[in-house]
Amino acid sequence: MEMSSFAKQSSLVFTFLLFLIQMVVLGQTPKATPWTPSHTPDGQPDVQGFWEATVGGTYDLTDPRRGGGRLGELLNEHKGIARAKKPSRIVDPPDGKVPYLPWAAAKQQDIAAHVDEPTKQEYVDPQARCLPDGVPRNLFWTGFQITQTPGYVFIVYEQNHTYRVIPLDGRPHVPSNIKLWMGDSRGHWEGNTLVVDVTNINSKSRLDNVGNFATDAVHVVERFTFSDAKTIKYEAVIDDPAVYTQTWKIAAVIVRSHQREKNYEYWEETCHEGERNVEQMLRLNDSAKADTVKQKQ
Amino acid sequence: MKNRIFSLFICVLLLLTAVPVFAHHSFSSEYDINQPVTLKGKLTKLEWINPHGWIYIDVTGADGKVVNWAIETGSPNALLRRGLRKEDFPLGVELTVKGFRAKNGTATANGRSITLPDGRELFAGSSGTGAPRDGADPTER
Repeated sequence: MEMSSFAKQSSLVFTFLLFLIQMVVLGQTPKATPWTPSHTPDGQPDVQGFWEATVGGTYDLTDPRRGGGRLGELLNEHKGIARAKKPSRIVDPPDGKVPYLPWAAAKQQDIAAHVDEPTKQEYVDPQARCLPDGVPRNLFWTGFQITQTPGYVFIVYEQNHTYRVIPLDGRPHVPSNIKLWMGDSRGHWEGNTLVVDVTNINSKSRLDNVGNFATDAVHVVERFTFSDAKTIKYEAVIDDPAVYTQTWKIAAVIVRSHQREKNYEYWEETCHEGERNVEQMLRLNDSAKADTVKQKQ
Repeated sequence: MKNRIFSLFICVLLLLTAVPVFAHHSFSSEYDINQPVTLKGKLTKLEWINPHGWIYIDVTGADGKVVNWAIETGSPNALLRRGLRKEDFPLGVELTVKGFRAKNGTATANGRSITLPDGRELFAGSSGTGAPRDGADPTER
């Protein structure tokens, strides 16, 4: 008996829902078996593809919010719904806070106090100006794609033309007087872990929206541990004696993304071409000035 | 009933193809959650640009005065991946926009949903800006 188109649609939806339920159940079961990756021609574990942090957003390292910004929480508070705080991305020190020297703590608190009222230029997050986020912040702001060629790992981020080139041949870093938005990376593999040493970061961008920061002497060592075919256990140790009382560490889980979208590709996202939010943020008190901003575009 | 099942299927599909595109700024540094707005007017200008698109509509106030409002939308990539096209917004089309007003008091808003003349309501905002979880964003995780 031929199925009606309605029956066909219904059974398709039902099959799909069963598939989803199966994925949820499987997802809750931790994988116990070790992972043996395939390898690139030069012997690297092949980890190419699209990736994304499970908890995205770069509003606050110590209080990560999916999607960034405080508005969702404000709205829920308005409705009497308290937000369930996620654990700090900072796993060392155990209190989950950035271990600042006193002058640095004061600077961060000043920025944090003005994050929703950026009355001065210096309160505006460089990310709002479409400036590159640096290392490690960019990993949490947007998805990224890993490409590997002999002797190199490339990370290309989905937004804002940012990327990292990670040579694996042990060459030295560029001279220390060279400062780069995305830093200078040198990598090597330890089994299934890509270890990346990052220096020469200009630190003109912040570590998050609420003003956590480093200087241009900061040294970051990242470990991308590919624990299975779809998961990265990421850690970064951050060292800058001018700012912190000790080194500190962040940790995150990053997973493969866009696997169900055949032929997914990144499209150009040119943040600079029409950025206007900063002028709005600076709270133009004069409406005429505000209108001038609009007319200029 | 058929349409409802098909819509459910599309919703599920949308959830699976969530685009993790985060905005480049914090919502609350610019827009006021205590000032939701619903604006009705004719489209006078469309800017299909990064990092946010902008639509401009002439809104007639209670006093009869016409004010041109600027409404921020998601980036062209985000809108495109949701199936929206520039052609969905011909100049002169009557739109109803729901969103939140800018803190600086200008005729500017962050757009969450846009309703077309045929009744279709489209999410046109930016995902991941910290904007309210008001159910308007079908890809919100």
